[in-house]
Amino acid sequence: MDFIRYLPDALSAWNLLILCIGTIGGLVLGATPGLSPTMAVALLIPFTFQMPADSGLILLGSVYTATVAGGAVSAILVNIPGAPANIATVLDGHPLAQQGRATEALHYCFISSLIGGVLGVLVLIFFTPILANFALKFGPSELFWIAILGVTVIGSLGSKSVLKGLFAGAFGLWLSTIGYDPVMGVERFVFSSYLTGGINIIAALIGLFAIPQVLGMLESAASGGRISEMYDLEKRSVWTSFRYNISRVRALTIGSITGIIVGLIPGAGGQIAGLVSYDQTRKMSRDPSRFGKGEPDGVIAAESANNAMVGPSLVPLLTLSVPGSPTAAVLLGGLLIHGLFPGPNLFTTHAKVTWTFIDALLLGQVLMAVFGLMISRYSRFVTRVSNNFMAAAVTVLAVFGTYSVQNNFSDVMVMMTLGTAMYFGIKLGFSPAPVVLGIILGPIAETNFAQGRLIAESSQGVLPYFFTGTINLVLIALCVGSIGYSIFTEVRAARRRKGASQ
Amino acid sequence: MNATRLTSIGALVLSLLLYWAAVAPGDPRSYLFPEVIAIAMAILAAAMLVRNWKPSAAKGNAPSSVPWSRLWPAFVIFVAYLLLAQPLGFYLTSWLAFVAISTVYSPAESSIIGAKRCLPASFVFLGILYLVFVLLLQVQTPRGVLF
Amino acid sequence: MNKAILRRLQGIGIALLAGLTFFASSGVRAADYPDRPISLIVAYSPGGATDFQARIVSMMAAKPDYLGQPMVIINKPGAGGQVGWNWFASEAKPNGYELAAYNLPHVIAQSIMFDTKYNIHNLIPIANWGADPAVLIVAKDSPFNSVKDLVAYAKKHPGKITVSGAGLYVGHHIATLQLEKAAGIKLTYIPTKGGVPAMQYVIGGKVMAGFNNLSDAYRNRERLKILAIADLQRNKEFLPDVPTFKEEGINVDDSSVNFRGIMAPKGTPKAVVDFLAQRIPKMFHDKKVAAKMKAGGSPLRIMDQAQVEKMWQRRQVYLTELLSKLRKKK
Repeated sequence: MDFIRYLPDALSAWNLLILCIGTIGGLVLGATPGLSPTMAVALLIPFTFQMPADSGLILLGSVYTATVAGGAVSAILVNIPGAPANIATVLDGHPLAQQGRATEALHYCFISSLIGGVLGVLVLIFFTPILANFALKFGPSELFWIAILGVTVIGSLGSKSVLKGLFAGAFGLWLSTIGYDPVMGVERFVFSSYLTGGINIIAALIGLFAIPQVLGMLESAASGGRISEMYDLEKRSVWTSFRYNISRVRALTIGSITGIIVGLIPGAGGQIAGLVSYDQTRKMSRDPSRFGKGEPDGVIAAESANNAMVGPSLVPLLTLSVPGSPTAAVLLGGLLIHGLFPGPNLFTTHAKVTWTFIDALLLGQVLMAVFGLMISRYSRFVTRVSNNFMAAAVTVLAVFGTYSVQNNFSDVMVMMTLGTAMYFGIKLGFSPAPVVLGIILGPIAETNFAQGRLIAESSQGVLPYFFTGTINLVLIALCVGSIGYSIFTEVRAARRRKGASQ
Repeated sequence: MNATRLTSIGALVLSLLLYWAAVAPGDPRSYLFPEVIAIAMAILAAAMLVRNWKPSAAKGNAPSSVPWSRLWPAFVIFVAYLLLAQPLGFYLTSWLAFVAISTVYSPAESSIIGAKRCLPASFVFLGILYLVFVLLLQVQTPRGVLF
Repeated sequence: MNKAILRRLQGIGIALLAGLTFFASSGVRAADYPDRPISLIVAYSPGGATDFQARIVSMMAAKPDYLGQPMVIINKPGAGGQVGWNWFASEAKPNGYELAAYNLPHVIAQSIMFDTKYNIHNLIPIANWGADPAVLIVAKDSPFNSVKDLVAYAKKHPGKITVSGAGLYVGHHIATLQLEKAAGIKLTYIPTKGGVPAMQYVIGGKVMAGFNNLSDAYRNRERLKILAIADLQRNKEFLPDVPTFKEEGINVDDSSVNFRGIMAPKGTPKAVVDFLAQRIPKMFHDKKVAAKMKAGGSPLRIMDQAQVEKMWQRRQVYLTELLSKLRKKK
């Protein structure tokens, strides 16, 4: 039990202090729109230069853990996901806040994050040797099918009409093809020099969610609008939330398992873990129509998934130096700086630092939940800020957050343009989540298809390449199942409506 | 012509435009993906059009209207913010944008009261922003003439 | 409603005045160069190899013997480096406070292949800090045990060997082109987004071979066979047993080596450039820098301005010729 042996190292006063600072800082950074976990970790790596290896890694690990959960805070309170991983949290989290149940929603978020997160780290601790080679089984064809599986989720993402949801998703996919294509080496659709770098995912995420939210707030601001008018009513004890939360076994199980599997797959990342588990939970629910209107299960599934992803995303990183998520990729830089070369030897030659780091991740999950639950009750101070201040603050944050992603003002322009267009899109019945999902999945699908095509053309041909192999077939079956089930529920709902109106 | 039907037609026109943009460069290998997506969009838009053709079908999800009279100052502020951010510097323009939005849309009766409330808030907010971005994260923002 | 909004516009005026006095307090002072921190533009994302090395080599800049001011890394990633370098060549102020990290052969190859705003004529090299040669790798269970095996197979089956690398027109791509040309074979190059998936596909057997960075291959050496190194000499420090291509009888030189260094935009005053060219190599030679670079498995190769300039010129000529065929195809 190596992880118990090195637990005291993670608990030394200095390391514990760093752990607390990292966790609190991570929660705050994560809750800031535009500061995604990837960015927060990247920005902190230079600070770890001067620290001893274990403290530096504890800081990075705790920030990674806490930012993932912190992103849910702005998702629930302000309807702006702090990172792509929190998109699914918005769908039911914000309706809960609007109903004056913000604190309750935050409780679910942190409790589910804790459960998912701890399960994820336990997978990292106990199953790393078994799972080490799992990541290597994924080549271009497998990753292509994973992206397609993600696309099948689009239809059910909180749009009033499935057709409009799919259309918005396809539009997102199209937007993702703007800019330089790394495989074909061409620049596409660069109508203006602002588009040279393509559409950055974080810039799009901020724009599509924050700007319509700002404009929506301003519609009612001058008459004194607020996010929720019922903020005074809520007195919710953590214990009540906890009891309800652990009774939602189905949502928690689906969330955690999906998160763990997605985390192990290189390149897919937590960005889609939350969405896939949200979709699964909704499809398996007895009454899918409750989702999108403030169903706690939605928050529970999404948040347990995106925190469950953290531990497993480090399995391929620590054993193969193949990161399981974009944030893990940045973390690799942090490991190298301290002379820790991922590989089979990491757990033996650098056992102390490695295990201290893993223990810190485990403790970080607990601290994240403790601090998160403590701040939850102050959520009313956010929801009662009057709309004019909220809108002003969100606008400025959106600009800062977007700029700091790549230090590129073009991204700010793209963010504002997309956001304003989305405001009108929402008026016409489209919603932002499918567009963002399209922008995320587009490059994964296209790059892997293009690479796969190059490989296939030099060997067995495109069709056999993409349609043979166990993992490919399993993924294709899942895609077909996902689409089939969507059609089935749609038809069933339509019949029921007909039956009800007659 | 009802609004849902217009939306579907608009969506169809948009997808055809995007399809044309993908076909025009004439490089089938690198433009395969956008082409396929544009065709999918066109099919979806056509399906929307068919479904929404009968006005009765569109009941319940009619587009809501945009309150232009309330929102035009916000659009003006956005445009000014984007245009001035690089020449004037990020912190000054952000502060101006914050003050402008919170004052124009203040629920307070008079502008003086509104401004009195907004100024302290604006300094606190930008102070925190400066601390987080510049001192903590060391993000470099464009510096303009003043700050 | 409208009137209420208009009335409030006058409130903004009041607020404006109050604020301007606050902001105007920070003035600009002139003094000897450098009197404020120097930015170093990195055209790749934080956490990548270039970013991580740039942070190490610039960490001692504040010492009075070197620059006397800290260097601040600014990442402007996008389009394989094109976004950052385009910005640098067209927008950066040539005052010595805005420098950038270069990656060779990327900068030159891209300026030949694409419509970029930069080329070797509007960039001034200052000094080189590192060199990461490309190595030819295959999976541990691959039938190829040497470059000769691979070439023989490729001669029999043209285009059947897939070779992964970290993108188009980067060192790995150049090395693949050179190998094709020197051995008279045809390979299928699979560009990936960065070196990590390229390596992953080789280890996982998704492609038959790959070119990757020496440092990354060294880290994964237990899962790989490293067939040859595309450099003029063997790497004594990390891989003393791996032969160069020339030793294997294939004429592939060091044109694909990924050189990293610092450059300034055209128009930077001569005095400033000279100051930097004199001080920055010293900074690279700092013991702490060398120790950190070694710990990170990144080979150092420090060159002064004259050497870098010569190398840039040679690369420009060679790459224009090598890439001319691809350019015509476009």
